[in-house]
Amino acid sequence: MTTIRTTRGARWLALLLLGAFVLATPGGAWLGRPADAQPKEFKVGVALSVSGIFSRDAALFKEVYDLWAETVNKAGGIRVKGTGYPVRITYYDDESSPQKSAQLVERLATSDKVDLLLAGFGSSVAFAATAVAEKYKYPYISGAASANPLFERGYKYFFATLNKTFDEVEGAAKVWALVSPKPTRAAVIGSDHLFGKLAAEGFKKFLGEMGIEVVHFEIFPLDLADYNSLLLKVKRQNPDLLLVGGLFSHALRVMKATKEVDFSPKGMAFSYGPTVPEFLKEFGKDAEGVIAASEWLPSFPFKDPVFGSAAQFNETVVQKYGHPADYVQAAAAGGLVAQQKAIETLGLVPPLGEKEREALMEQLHKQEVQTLYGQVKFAADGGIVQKPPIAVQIQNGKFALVYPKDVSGTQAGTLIYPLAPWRSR
Amino acid sequence: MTFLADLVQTLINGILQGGVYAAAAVGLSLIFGVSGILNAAHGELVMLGAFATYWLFTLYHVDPLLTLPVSFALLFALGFTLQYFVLHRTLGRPLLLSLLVTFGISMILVNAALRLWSADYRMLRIPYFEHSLLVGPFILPLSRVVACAVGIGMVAGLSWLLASTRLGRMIRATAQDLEMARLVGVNPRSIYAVTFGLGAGVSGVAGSLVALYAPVEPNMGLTFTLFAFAVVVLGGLGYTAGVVWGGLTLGIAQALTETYLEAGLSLLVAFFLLYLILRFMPAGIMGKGRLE
Repeated sequence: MTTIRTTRGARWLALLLLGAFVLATPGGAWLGRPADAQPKEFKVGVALSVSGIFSRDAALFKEVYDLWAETVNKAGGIRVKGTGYPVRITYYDDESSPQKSAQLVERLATSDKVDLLLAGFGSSVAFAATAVAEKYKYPYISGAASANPLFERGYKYFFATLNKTFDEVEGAAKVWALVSPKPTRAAVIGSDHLFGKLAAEGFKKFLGEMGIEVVHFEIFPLDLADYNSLLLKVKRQNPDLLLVGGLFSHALRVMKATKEVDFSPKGMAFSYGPTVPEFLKEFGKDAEGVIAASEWLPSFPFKDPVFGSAAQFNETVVQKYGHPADYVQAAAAGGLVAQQKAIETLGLVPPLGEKEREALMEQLHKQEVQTLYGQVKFAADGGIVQKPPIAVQIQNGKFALVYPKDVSGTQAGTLIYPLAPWRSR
Repeated sequence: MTFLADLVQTLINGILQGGVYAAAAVGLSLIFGVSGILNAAHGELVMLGAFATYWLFTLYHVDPLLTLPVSFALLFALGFTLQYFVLHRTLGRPLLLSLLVTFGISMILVNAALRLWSADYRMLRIPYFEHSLLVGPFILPLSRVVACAVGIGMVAGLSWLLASTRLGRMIRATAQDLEMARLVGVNPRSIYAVTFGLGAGVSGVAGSLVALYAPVEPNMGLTFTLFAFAVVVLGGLGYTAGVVWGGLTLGIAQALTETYLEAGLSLLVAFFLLYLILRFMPAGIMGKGRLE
C-alpha cells in the first residue's frame, strides 16, 4: 500500500511540476518555439490622474498617449536600424495625488522596469514624480507642467514642452494692451495649487507692468463650495477685467458663478480651461469672447513624421475622440515625438538600461526637433526654448489667435472687447 | 453697496449654500441615528443622484425637477439592497467595521462611475435656471434658491415621516430599543434596510439638487461626505432635523469667511467650528444630538 501511495504521489508531483514548468516558461517555449520569437517592445509606463481633481485634464493626455502608441505600432513600431519595436503603455492612476504619482513612478522604474516614462498631468504631480524619475534616471517630458520652481532644481531628466507658467500666461495678460479704451482695473483670482497660484501671480505681475491696477487678488481653495460669494466680492470692486489662474474645473465654476451673480467684466481671461473641449460644449454662446492662455493652434504650419501636420493631428483627434485637439495635447505629442526621435537617432533598442537612458537624456538636451507642436529644443533647465506665449479668444465657437499679432504666418484676429453683459448674451 | 447690504447678500449666499448642505447631510444623519452606521460612501450616493439627473436631462430631456423622484427611487433601491445584503452583517459590530465596508463601497461606486461615465466634468444647462432673482440690490440665483428650498423641504418631509407615520414610528422604535421593537413585531432587518434606502434616496435627491448649479463628476462625493459629517456633528449626531441648523451654520460661516476674510480660510473656519461644537456643545447646536 505504501508503495502504491508513493507512486501515485510521485505521479501527482510530476504532473504538478510539469504544469508549473509549462506555466512558468515564458512565451510557451516548451512547445518548441524559440523564446526570442516574441518581438521586443518598448515598455512604457505612466502614472496619470485617471481620477481626482486633474482627471478631466489628464484624460486629454491619455488620448494622446493612446494615439501615439496606435500610430507608432501601426507603422511597425519605433524604427531602430531598420527594425520596428512596438510600444506598450502601462497606465496607473495617481488619483491626482503628487505623493501617489511619485510612488507609482517608483513602481514603474523598479518593479515594472519600464524602458520609458511618460509624464502625468500638471505641475504639482510633476513636482513629486520628477524627483523619482531623476533618481532612477528616466527622462520625463511633460506637456502640462510649467510651474517655474520645477525648473529651478537643477534636474537633468525633467523636460517640459510648455512655457514656464509666468511666460505661459503672458499673452493672456498682455493682450489687454491692445484694447481701447485701455482697461485700468483688474481682479485676479487663482486656485490654491502650484499652477493656479503661479498663473495668478504671473497675471498680477504682467498687469502691473502694463499699468493696470490689480484691485483684487485672491487665492481660493481647490474644493471651494460657494463660488458666488467669491465672485460677488470681486464684482463689488468693479474691475474692468477678471483673470483666473487655475484648471478646467475652476474655469467652469467661475464662469457659472459670474453669470449667477450677474458679474459682467469687460474682459475675462483664464490660464487654462477654455481650451478643454467641454468648456465650449458647456457654455456655447456664453463663452463668446473669453480669452485663454495657449501655446498652439491647429492652424500653425508645423509638422513631424509621426503625427503629420498640426492640422492632421487635430483632424485625427476630432475623428477619434470627437473634439478638437487642445494645446496641451499638442504639447504632449511634441514631447513624444522628441523622445522617439532621440531613440531613433541613438539607435537604442529595448530593454533600456541606465546607461541608455542617460544617453537619451543627453540627446534630448542636445537635439532640436521639428514637431507638429513647433520646434522642440530644450534649455539646460529642461524648459523649452523660443516658444512665443499666445492668447486665444473664443469667437464664433472657435479659438482665434488674438496675441501676438503673428505666429509663424498665422495672423491675429480682431479682439472682441468689451464682452456683452450676461443679460444680453 | 453699503455694509449692511453686503452683509445681507452674504447671509443670503450662506443660507442658500446651507440649505443644500442640510439636504446632503440628512441621509447620513438618519442612517447613523437608526442603525449606527457611519456611511463613508455617503458622498457617492449624492454623486449617483447627480448623475441620475444629469443623464435623464441630457438623454431624455426630462426636466431636472421631475428627475427628483426618479433619483430618489433609484437610490432607495440601491440603499435598500446594500443594507439588506451587505451592511446587515456589520450591525452590532464595532463602528470601524461599518466604516471599512462603506469605504469599500465608496471605492467601488467611484470607480464604477469613472468606468461608465469617465472623469469628465459635466454641467446641466437649464436655460430657465440660469437667471437670478433680483430683490432690490440682492441677487438670488434661481437654481440655488430652488435647490435650497427643495432641500429644506425634503428635510422637513423626512422629519414629518419619522414623527407622524407608522413607518416612522417603527424606525424610531428600532433606533431606540431593538429588543422591544422586535417584541412588538418589527422586523429589524427590513426596517434597517428601509432606513438606509430612505437615507440613500434623500442623498440622491440632494445630488440632483447639486446638479442644478454645480458640475457633476465621479469624484465629487468626497467633499459631500466631509461636509455632511461636519453638518451632522454641528446639528447633533442622530438628530435628523438638526442638519438644517448644522447646514445653515456651516453655510453662513463659510460665506462670511469668503466675503470678509479669504476664500482660502473657509475650510479652516468650517473645521474650527466643528472643533468648538465638539468641545463645548457635543450634542450639537440645538443640544438634541446623541452623546455616546
